[in-house]
Parts: sequence; C-alpha cells; structure tokens
Amino acid sequence: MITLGLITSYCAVLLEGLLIVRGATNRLFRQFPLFYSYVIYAFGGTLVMYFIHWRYPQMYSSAFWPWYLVSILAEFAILLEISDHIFQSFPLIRKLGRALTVLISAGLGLFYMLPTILASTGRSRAISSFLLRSFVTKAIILAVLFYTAHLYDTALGRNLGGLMLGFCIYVAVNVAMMGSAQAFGSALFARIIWFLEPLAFALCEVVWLISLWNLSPTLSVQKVAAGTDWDSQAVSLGLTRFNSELSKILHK
Amino acid sequence: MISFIYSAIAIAFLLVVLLLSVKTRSSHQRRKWAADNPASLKIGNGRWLHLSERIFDPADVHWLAEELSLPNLAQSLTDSRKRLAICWLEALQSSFDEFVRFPQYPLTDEVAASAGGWQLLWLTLRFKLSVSCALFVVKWFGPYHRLIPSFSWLPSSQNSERRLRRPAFANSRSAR
Repeated sequence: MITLGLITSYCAVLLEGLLIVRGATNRLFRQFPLFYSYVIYAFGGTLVMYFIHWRYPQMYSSAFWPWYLVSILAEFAILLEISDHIFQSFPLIRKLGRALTVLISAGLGLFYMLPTILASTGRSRAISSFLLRSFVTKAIILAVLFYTAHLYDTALGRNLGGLMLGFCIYVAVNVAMMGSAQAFGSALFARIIWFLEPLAFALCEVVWLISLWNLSPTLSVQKVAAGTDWDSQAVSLGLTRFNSELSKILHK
Repeated sequence: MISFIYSAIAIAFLLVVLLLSVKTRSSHQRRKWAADNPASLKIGNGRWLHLSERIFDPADVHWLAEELSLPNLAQSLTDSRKRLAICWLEALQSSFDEFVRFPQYPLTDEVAASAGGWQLLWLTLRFKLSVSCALFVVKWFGPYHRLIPSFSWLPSSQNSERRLRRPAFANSRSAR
C-alpha cells in the first residue's frame, strides 16, 4: 500500500512537471497565468515536502499543513481565472463569471466556511471542517459556472472545458474524502486518504494534460464575427438604448 | 451517515457537470449551425417598440368601458391585450437573450477596456430584472397594473448612454 501510494505521488509530480513544460512550450502560460502559477507552486511545494520528509521527518507535519492550506486558498484564484475565461467572447456578460465567483465565495466564505474556524474546538477538527467546506464551496461555484455557461450556450473549448472538468474531478473526490474523514476520524485519513488524495490529483492532472496539450481556439466565433459590423461600442449603445426604451414603456 | 451524504453530493456534482458539459456542447453545435445561417438581429427594431405602446396603452379599454359602456367587451379586450403583452415580453426576452449571446472575437485590450464590462453587466442584469418583473406583473395583474416596475430609482439610462459614448469619441481618430 505504501509503495503504491509513493508511486502515485511520484506520478502526480511527474505529470505536474510535464504540465509545466507543455504550458511553457505552447504559450498557454499567457492564457492561464494563475493556473500555471498554482501548478508551479504545487510542483515546487511537493518537492520541498519530499525533501523535508526525507531529511527532517519531525518537521513534516508543521510544514505540510500551511503549504496545503495556501494551495487550497490558491484554488479560488484558479476559479476566478476560469470564470473570467467563460464569457470572454460575450461583451455584455464578460464579467458575469467573475461576479458569480466573487459573490458565492464571499457569501459562503463568510457564512459557511468561517464559522468552522471560529466555532470548532480542536485544531484538527477545525482544519478538516474548513477543508471540507472549502471543497463544497468550490463544487458549488463550478456547478453554477457550468450551469450559467449552459444557460448562455457558451462553448467552453477544449482548454477551458478540460481545465474545469479536471478541477471538478479533483473537487468531487476531495468532497467525498473529506466527508469520510470527518465521519470516521483521522484513522481513516492515515490509512486510505493520504493515498487517495494524490491519486485524485494525478487523475485530474491527466485530464488537464490532455486538454491543455495544445492551445486551441475557444470557438468558431471568428466565423460569426467576420460577417458583421458590430463592435463593442455598438453593442453597448444597443443595450443602453434597449434599456432606456423599456424603461420608457414601463414608466407609463 | 455524513460520509454517505458527502459522497452522494460528490457523485451528483460530477454527474451534473458531465451532463451540463455534454448539453452545452450540443447546444453549441446548434448555435454553430445558426452562425452558418445568420439571421438579422432584431435589437433596436422600432416596430416592436411601437407595437408595445399600443399593447400597454389603456386608452382603448377606457373608451370601451366608460364612453361606450361596454364592460364585457372591455374585459375581453383586456384579456387579449394581456396575452399579447405576455407574448411581446417573452419575445423581447428571447430577442434580448440572443443579443446577449452575440459573440465577439478576437478582443483587443483597448476594446475590452473601453467597453466597461461591469457597467454592461449591470445594464444587462437590470434589463433582465425589469422584463422578468414586468412579465410577472402582467401574468398576475394584467397589462394596465400600476405594479409594473418603473425603476425610476435606477440611474438614468440616458446618463449611461452618454458615459458609454464618451470613450468612443475620445478614442476616435476624428476627435484628435
């Protein structure tokens, strides 16, 4: 079991390295800077954790949790980046994804995640509750973003769709794992979850690697835009006029 | 028990996401077909707005009820105007949704900055809210009810228009 866990963990690191190399060679760094910063952080952090585990095993626990908690918070930044990309080609709702992500994160952060830190008695209990709720919050954000994209017929494209799908797998596995850890205690964590966590991450990295192997155009929108004379100003003036005409009618 | 609940949430979440991504792909294929067969956008079409003025104008109903003393006919006209108003508002809503879904690509940084993304989002949401409220009131209270929202508390849309126009003129070559 330990050997299998180590192999999975090494595979995850290898995939992270491959993801970074591909991102650097195919110009995807510029498209998703926060995502690649997160991958680099995870890659570097894992190598540092291996080193600490090898040289200073007594320090491992105190070094691991701060690094892991920062990575959990950094994942919200990736969600923000994803949300920015979803409606990028629609001038009227370009900021919709960001608005939804910020609102849900702030609302659930304040009323759902924060109380676990303030109210929990033990440190480990507080951390596990916080992790669980942060993953549930991410799942809600992703579901809302997927639903809104579906509502507006937004084509996510191979890169963004894969990025979201990989993130969904990672979040879903973590929700189930953290829920189980809370129910069955840290014994389960020590036996199974330490191995399942890198497995989930490796699985989502495989999805990311496949979808981000090459830079793909988002949509066939160029085709749509090519035959029209609409520009941003025309769209915004059209919208304003529409609002003002409707207001006039409704004022009556 | 809590473990099962969270596992169920995780599985349901994955299923929903997969379903939505598959459906989004198929609806995108439909839109791609529509893009290959372009139809003219109906935004800013004056006839629509003129029609709405007739639908939401209670003068005919008052004339039938008060001057000709034909309350039944007035009621019948109100009912048919209500159906027309609902149709008009739903058509307006779907036309607006098409307008919102109108893509623009590629975006230069200058265009993206000048468009004022938050303001456009606000106007879009405001419009959706206005139409939804109007639909609700027309469905429940009829087309001549005072509860149809006036939204006079919102900043004037003429000001918004002026604000949106300004950067366009400032950036144009002729202004230099």
